[in-house]
Amino acid sequence: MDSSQLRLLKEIQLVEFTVIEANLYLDTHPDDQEALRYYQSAKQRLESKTADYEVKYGRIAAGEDGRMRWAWVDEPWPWQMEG
Amino acid sequence: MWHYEKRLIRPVKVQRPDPAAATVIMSQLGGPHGELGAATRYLSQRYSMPYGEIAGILTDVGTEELAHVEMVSAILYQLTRNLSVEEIKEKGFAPYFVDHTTGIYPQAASGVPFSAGGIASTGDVFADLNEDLAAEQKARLSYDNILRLVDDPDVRDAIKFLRAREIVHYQRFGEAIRIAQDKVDSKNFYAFNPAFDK
Repeated sequence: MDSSQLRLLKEIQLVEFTVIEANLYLDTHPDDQEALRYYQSAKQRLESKTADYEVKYGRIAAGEDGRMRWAWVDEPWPWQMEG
Repeated sequence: MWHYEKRLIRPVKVQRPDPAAATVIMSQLGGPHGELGAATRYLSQRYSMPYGEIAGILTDVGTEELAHVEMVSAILYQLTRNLSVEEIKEKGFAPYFVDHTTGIYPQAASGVPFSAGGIASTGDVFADLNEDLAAEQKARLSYDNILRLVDDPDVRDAIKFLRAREIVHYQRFGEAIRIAQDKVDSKNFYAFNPAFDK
């Protein structure tokens, strides 16, 4: 796994963590407008980074992407990445 | 990692509470052939599985089993709603009720709490996959026994769905063994563990 892949994966993990954290905050503050906007923008960043990653390096979630292979089964699995 | 969706994998709508049915169905939550053990088994085994297709099926079936844990729990919750103390005493629910009221707790129908003693994760490709085939059959036969004991069509529908999934998983694990066999040297079938003996 090259360093640009690891870097992009790290960015995804960071923004994903932001989404999860905002999610939990919103669970107890469901009408907080600023938090809702924060969540929305993080979610959009996550989707665009994930799409970018999947085009370059393969699937993060099971699914089909127009290629002639169910690439979900291709390595590495998360426990093999060490990064 | 995982995401949660606020929906069941298949709808559960039990109109008539029935604590007697709950006392046997609870085995499929926390019993030796239950869904919690299934999820734990597959999600533990996948780390030592050297083949992507099989790591994939273990991940995805294990994830589905977590959705089944939720579905069985929903059945138990709906079967034990709005019970009177008389119903609890008459329908054999008192031994569970005394410790758990109507909360959801993973235990076998016998009362034995959930135990990882009912699952295996051996680090051996063929031992694990054969364990998985047996596990799917054991879950299937438990659902068959539940269908022999429970009459309510609402409950039976949900149980039949879960039973059908065991059969599908059994098919997939059968294919997984064939994939693994194709990847080892044909002269060494079963003679070594491809996850450890390189």
